[in-house]
Amino acid sequence: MAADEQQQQQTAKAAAGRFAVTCGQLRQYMREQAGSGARCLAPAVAMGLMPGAGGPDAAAAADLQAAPAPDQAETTAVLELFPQQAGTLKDEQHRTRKEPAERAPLTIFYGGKMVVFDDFPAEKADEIMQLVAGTGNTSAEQNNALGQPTAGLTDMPLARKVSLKRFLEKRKNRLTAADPYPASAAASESTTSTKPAVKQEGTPWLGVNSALSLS
Amino acid sequence: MGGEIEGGERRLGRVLSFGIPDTALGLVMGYVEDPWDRDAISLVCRHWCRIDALSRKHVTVAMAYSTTPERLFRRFPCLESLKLKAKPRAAMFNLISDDWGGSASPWIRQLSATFHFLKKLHLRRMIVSDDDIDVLVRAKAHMLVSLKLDRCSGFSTPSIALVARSCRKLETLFLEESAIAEKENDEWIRELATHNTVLETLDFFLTDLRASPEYLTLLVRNCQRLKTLKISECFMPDLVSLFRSAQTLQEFAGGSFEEQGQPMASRNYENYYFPPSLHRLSLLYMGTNEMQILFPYAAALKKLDLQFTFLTTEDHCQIVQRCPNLETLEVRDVIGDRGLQVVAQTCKKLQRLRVERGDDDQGGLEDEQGRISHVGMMAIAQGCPELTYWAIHVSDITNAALEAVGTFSRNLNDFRLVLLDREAHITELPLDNGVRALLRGCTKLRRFAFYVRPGALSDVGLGYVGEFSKSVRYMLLGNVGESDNGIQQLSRGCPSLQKLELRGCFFSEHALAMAALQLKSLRYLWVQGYRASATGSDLMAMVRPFWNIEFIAPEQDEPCPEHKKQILAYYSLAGRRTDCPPSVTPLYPAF
Repeated sequence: MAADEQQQQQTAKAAAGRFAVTCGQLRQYMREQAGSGARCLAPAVAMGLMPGAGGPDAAAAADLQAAPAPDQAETTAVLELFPQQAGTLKDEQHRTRKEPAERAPLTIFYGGKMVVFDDFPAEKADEIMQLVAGTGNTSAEQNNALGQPTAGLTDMPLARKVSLKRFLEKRKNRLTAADPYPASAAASESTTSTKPAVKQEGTPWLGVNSALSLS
Repeated sequence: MGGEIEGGERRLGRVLSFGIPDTALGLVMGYVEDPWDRDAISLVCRHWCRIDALSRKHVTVAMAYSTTPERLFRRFPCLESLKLKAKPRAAMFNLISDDWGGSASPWIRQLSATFHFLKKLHLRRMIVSDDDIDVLVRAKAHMLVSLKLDRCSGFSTPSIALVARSCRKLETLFLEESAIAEKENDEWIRELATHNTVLETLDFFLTDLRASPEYLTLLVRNCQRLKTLKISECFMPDLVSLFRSAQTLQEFAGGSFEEQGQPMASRNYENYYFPPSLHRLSLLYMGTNEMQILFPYAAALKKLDLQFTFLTTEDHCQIVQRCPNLETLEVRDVIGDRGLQVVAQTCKKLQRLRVERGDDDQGGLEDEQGRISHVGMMAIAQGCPELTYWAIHVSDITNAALEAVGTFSRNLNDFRLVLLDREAHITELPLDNGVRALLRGCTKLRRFAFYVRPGALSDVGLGYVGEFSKSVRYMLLGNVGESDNGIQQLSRGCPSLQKLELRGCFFSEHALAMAALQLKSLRYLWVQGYRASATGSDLMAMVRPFWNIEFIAPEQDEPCPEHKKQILAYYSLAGRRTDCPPSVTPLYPAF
């Protein structure tokens, strides 16, 4: 029954919709496992998995935030839902199976947010991987024969023209100055610089030609 | 032996010249200004080549490392105007490291020693030092009519002051987007205002230079022929007397609607005076409350640049609907489909349209309606048939939109489309058929850019590009193709393609090399994002005489990430570069 519903939802948005459903199921599971130690970190650097996927899918991701739990140091096993290189999901499963314990940490990157689950049961992790393998990967395969070009979207962000970049920084500063809640602006500013090669602009409009100065 | 050959040549030349003496031939050739025609003329025979060379007034060297200053002088000793470009276009997008090269010093040394007729110099994307300017001024100050340091760097304001007080015949001083070290604030503009009376163009737009409104006004008063004034930030109320004095001004850019460091006070710009001759405008940081400044003049405007304004989609609609005579419009994509529909309805004479990428970083979306799709594209294609230049960033697209361009925009000579990463899902992919229709319909197309995402243009689509881009000389392709097959199919066509830029396409080195050899007109290739071989040896498949091959690793400290590596290859008579920084490795010639 649930599978049929999913089939119907497929017609609209392909990968994004299916993944949102998957996350919805995960959310449901986590609610059942309330107190299992799920914790959510503040919006991290965007992985660009679903560039531009805002709106309803981001809301679904936001629901994944559980109540803040006390900090726990642990190693996280990264679950590569959209593998960067050509390869099979089986490889990913082999990798995660290196963990000898039945329970292991699970990290999910979605919609620019990162969710970490400590002591996630292995069978449930497999279930999720199967679910995603059956749905999320197909669009990536549709788009390219080699698998390699998917890296294009994430590794090679669209470069900005210098003149416009400087202007947009100025615009952002202006909005920040007027903003009575500077905390949110600071968070968004930290995610804007995408290429390490770009020197931080500093105060571009006050005579510092940082864009063209050597380190 | 020499005499015999010379005699033979002269006889051949005489035969081909129908007995017309050389001076007359030179005068006739003088009427031919198009560089392609001149190129054809110079290939007829040695005699004609020499006369062309002596009568050629302007030369553009598109890649400064493709020849040497000495060679240029030997061929064109009577040159009056020279344009040089060095750094790859990617430098305008921060993809080329600062030490890549492009120093103007060897050229300026040559210019100052020879080129006795040189009056105009245009350097684009080059490094120019204060010393260079000093040398140039010493040699050419009495003759220099036009100096353009365009997106250059390496010099400071005292050098501009030196130019200003020494070059009394200077009609054009162009410094747009250059990175200039500011030393003494106003000296350079003071020198210019007090020493020059013939200036027609002053442009320091998009630089960090500051010029006081007082000296700017003095300049405008002294230079009665001033047509173009493009400045940096300057509070608009401070420019009131400047505009009152500028009775010949046709183009203005810059200004600002905020006083430095002061909070925004609301002012009334309803009755702001612009001279009646002013038809081209670009006002920095204009917001909703200030756009009324344009309304009395909107009907007369021929060029409007709103790229650096703080306007909403609705604001754009409000302004554009008052501008029926626009020939050039430059905006960010905040204009939205709705704004483009207004453009299509109102601006029937539009020839140039640029829709740049606005803020689409997280949380930065400018306006709910601030995105462009096939809706806006189709409106423009149908509404603005006079378009010759069209550059657009879209968030969504269909084949039908591209087909519409091919059907209606028959005058296009330059079309550039970028598909943004905003939407995860695009309405219709791939765009093979649309691209085919566009290229088939736009027969005058000379420049073509198609920067999309994986899956947007298949190998078959690249084949179409190759087959139907008969006159295209410059192409930028981003994230196109599925496999090496694609570039192979492309390279079977594109008969006129001289300059090719590829980004994010991930073809193999071998395929790139084969393509470079196949493309019969190719003289310049830039690639970022390719499948590198272990040693870079696959690239050597394209080794041939006069074909410089360079490998660029923009980040030289760490091992260069796969997607950052760049290849630059170009025809050169100068041999290997002698000034390579650590980040540039010449692969061929090896020495």
